Amino acid sequence: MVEKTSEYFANVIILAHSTFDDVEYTTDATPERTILQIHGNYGVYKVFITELLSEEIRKYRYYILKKNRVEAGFDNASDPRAIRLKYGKIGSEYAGRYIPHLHLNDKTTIELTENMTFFGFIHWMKENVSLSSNPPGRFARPTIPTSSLPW
Amino acid sequence: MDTSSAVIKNNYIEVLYSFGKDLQSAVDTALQKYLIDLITSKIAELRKKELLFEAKYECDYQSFSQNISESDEFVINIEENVNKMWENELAEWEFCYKGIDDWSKKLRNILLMS
Repeated sequence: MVEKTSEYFANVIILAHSTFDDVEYTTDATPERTILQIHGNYGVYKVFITELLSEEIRKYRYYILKKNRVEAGFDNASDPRAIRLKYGKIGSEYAGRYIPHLHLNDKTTIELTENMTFFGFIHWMKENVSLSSNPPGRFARPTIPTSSLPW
Repeated sequence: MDTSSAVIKNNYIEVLYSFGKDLQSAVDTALQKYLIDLITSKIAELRKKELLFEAKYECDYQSFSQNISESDEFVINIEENVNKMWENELAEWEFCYKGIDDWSKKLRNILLMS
């Protein structure tokens, strides 16, 4: 697991460096979990990436901001809005479930997605986010390219 | 048990022998102390970060992670008044909170080895 994690993080960092400007990243690990945090610039946008590998689950956060506005945010956090979309209701029986979803329009709208990878996020971003300051228009529904991941 | 080898400087070995100490047990003791120091520093670092999150979100990790997944009002309040990108911080907070446990278990294992 340690080797696979290191290799995965290395690939993410390499791709981040080749895609974004002014990339900064930190990693940390305990005997049971590892975390990678990256931030960088993509044209006029700021990008914030978190990958937490914990209890055999990959928890991810891929956020694109323009100033303080969340243009898009892919994550699989236990968000009640995503839980309600998936199960029709929220409550203690659904608490803690990891639901892949996409926030748009400064987090005023939310869509369920398939589990997203960093590579899939880059692919989606290049298809949907213009480097210039022009309004991006309506983002397309994400299609995640298949990739082999340890999780 | 897996083992590794290392090169010890002769200067250290000579001084050690002059104290009548055994090389293997001296290395084991020194490494154990060093690791205890590293681990306790790490736990302190994680706890410091955890305290920052507790102060920012005004609750502990368990309460936050429960409330955030069960209450629309809680999420809206957090996004409007604390941090719109709480998901990123929650991941780091989880790492700190659970990481303290991880390292504490490792510390106990090392202490039990003496």
